[in-house]
Amino acid sequence: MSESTIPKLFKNACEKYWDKQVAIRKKYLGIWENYTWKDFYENVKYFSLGLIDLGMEPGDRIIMIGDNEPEWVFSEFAVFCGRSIATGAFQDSLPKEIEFLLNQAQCKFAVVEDQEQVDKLLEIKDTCQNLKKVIYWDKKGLRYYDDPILIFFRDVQEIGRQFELSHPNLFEQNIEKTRENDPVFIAYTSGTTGLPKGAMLSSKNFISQIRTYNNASQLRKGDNLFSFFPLAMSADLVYVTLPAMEAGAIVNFPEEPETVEEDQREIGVAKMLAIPRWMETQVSKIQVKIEDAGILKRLMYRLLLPIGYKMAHFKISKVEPSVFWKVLYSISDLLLLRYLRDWLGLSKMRSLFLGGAAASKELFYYLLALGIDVRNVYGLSETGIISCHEKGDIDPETGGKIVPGMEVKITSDGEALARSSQNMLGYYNNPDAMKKTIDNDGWLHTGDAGFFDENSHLIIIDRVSELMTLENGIVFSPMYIENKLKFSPYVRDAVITGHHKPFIGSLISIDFPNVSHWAETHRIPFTTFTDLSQKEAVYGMIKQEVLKVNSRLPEDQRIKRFALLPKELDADDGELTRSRKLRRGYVVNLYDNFVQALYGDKPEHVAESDVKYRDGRIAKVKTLVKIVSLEGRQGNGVCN
Amino acid sequence: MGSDNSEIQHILLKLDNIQLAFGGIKALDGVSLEVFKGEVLAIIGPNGAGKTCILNCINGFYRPQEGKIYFQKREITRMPSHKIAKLGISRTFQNIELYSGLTVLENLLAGRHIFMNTGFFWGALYFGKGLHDEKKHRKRVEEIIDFLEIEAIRKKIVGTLSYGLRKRVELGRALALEPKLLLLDEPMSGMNLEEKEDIARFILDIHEEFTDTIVFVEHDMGAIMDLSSRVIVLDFGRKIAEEPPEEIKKNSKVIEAYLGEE
Repeated sequence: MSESTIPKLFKNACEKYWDKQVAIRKKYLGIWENYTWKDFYENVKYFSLGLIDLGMEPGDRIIMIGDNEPEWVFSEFAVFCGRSIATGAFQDSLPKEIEFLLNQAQCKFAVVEDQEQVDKLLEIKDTCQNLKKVIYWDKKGLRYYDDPILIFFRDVQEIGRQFELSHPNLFEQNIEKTRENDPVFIAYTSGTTGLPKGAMLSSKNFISQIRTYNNASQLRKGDNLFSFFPLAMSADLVYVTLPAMEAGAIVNFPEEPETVEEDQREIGVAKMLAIPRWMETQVSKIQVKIEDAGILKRLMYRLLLPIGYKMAHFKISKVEPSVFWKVLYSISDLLLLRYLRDWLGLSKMRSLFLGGAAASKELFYYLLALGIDVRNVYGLSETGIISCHEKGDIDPETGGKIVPGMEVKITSDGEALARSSQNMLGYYNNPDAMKKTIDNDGWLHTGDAGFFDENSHLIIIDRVSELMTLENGIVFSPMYIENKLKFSPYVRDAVITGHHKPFIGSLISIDFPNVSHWAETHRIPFTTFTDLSQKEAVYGMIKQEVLKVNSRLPEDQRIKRFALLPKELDADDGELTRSRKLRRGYVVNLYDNFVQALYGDKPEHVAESDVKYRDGRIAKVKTLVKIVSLEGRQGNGVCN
Repeated sequence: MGSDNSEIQHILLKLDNIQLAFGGIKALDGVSLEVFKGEVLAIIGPNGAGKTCILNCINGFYRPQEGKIYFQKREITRMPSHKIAKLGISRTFQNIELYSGLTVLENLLAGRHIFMNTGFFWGALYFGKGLHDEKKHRKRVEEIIDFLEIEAIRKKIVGTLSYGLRKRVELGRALALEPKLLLLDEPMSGMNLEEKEDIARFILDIHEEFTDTIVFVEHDMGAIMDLSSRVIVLDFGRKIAEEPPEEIKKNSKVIEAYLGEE
């Protein structure tokens, strides 16, 4: 039995389903267009041969940048099948970020979507010595570009077709030569701390992950999957593209990034891994819309949703509900829950996995109450899936049991270490970081603090480096509190402070669409984000939200003071990573004066901040920010 | 976009000594101009100079008292607007004129009316020719939606959209006519910098992919410098200059009209 690799998996799937089954669907001009497995195979084959003719050799790195579109996946597999290494950058990366990746990975080719990306690459091509060609797949606006480094995607495939005449069977031979331990993909970590590091992943790593995932998810032939993760993350391969190949499922691509929600509803996705952040946004929208609905609908929502919650409790505590509850539940489902599921695009969802970041207990309960089979999964791109909820064994607080083939131990200072045969091969071009991450015995230092509960479920608290200690010695997880805050539809981001401080404070960034909607219904006029964020009424409303969160926190871990940030946190300003994770160290430094003010004794604070525009200009903005105390200190609250 | 050989290119539209008056006020006073095939012509001038009047005369909203307008060597001076549209002249308006109760898709399809000749019978049956035509028009409209990147609002009611998006939809409707000559009346007015940059990029792309001859009225000098190959300056209904954009900034008459005499 030969080694199982991604290219072989790809070839087998294509041969098995060939032109009898749909492999990929993508909406063009408002209509879903099909690619059969045969189309998939040929697109990959000729692009791969084209790249080889242009000079791609085994082991070369090729970077892809663009929205989720079939061409991305064709290029990716063309690279795999040519025994080269694929990597990707987020489509909204700035030129200097792309430049870093291109030089760090010494990429030979860049396969990009459109004019926007081409312009970025033309700007930096002179400082990227290894870059030989930039291949684009969307021609719009590029007609008069004549830089010789540019070449059109279809032209490369045409080169591939010519190349095949003189090199028959080369593509198939290349696939035969692939080995399971060869690196295939470099996944760049999002870089919450410092520069991104590229985790080199092998076929073996991917294949063991998808076996685990397919076991847990029971994917069937013809199921619809949805490719909406940024393709630069390995998550798309692990949870969408490769499982689809193994099971014969269909991968659907959104029409445009803006139409993702609508497309998801049209497709009826069967299985999905979702980032909690994304689901929170959706759930927030429901909550806001319900407030707007007529009295009858509001009444139904208030009356029937608790029945769903009751059912969720039964499921978690593994108690068989009585007939009474079952009847009530089917009424609730008939009148309310199924419409909510449909609105969320989850009407055909058989199981929804939450991963990528810790899901708040509130979100987990809500989805469960809607009748969705929701499960947590914990994994890292450096090694793969570590733990996962099994069917019927769920607990919103945990990440589930350790998956087969994975070993986990907890060190004395609380860090979780993982070991398996599928660990990454190393960080590309960065042996120092590699030594720090995987020790000599093969244990991968996850950097996450965790422990096992009585059911041997793994509970991840937070990053070890992020845990905070108050002056009185109480240790707490800022992320845990932040996630609770973010469940409020009016809070977009929150930053918890309190390390070596007397109490816990928070900087909160409001959710602009939802709060502005709230302001409209309450007849509060405002101009900009900054203006809205500093309205007294908004402070009052957010204060209620914070009090709600406080009531669910242990008494010694409650938020004592907060301030509303006058600007949204943005990846372009370095405050978030491209996957929208908070870069806390950076943000706390940037807003140091805010933090000072939180722990000072003035009720107001004049904030000066730099605003960076997309064209590179920097402006200074001055705002008067209020500090709200929840302890009722004299003269300190604006909304007493 | 060079304008070096515009003299030898053939004339698409010609205005000859146009006189337009409202009562005693002369809006256009003997304006003559030519639009060459393949150029992007900007018309500028202070408020009330008669810029929009020129567009209104071209597409038949106003009837000039004197003078003649030729499109592709055919006189269109007294032709009604819908016939002019059929000849291949479409436009957008300064204050968006869309069916605000219809969806984006329906508004764009409305722009296809000049190509629809299915008739009542086949249209009502939605069968045979009617179905075939519907598909054909829908496809064309979808191409425009794709081009203008408004997929996400395809089924939204136009009245609920933001100003910037409505401007884009209106541009889409003008393109749905597959015009030979596109007239844009202040396509960037009331927009922020980012929206202006978007529209500027669309205008350049339209010039490449859809309609090669564009006449636009605009105030934003930056946009004019970047987009146009030739500029015509109006003041009190008279043409005072006609030059490539680099020259126009140095022209003393233009400075006078805009900034007043020294």
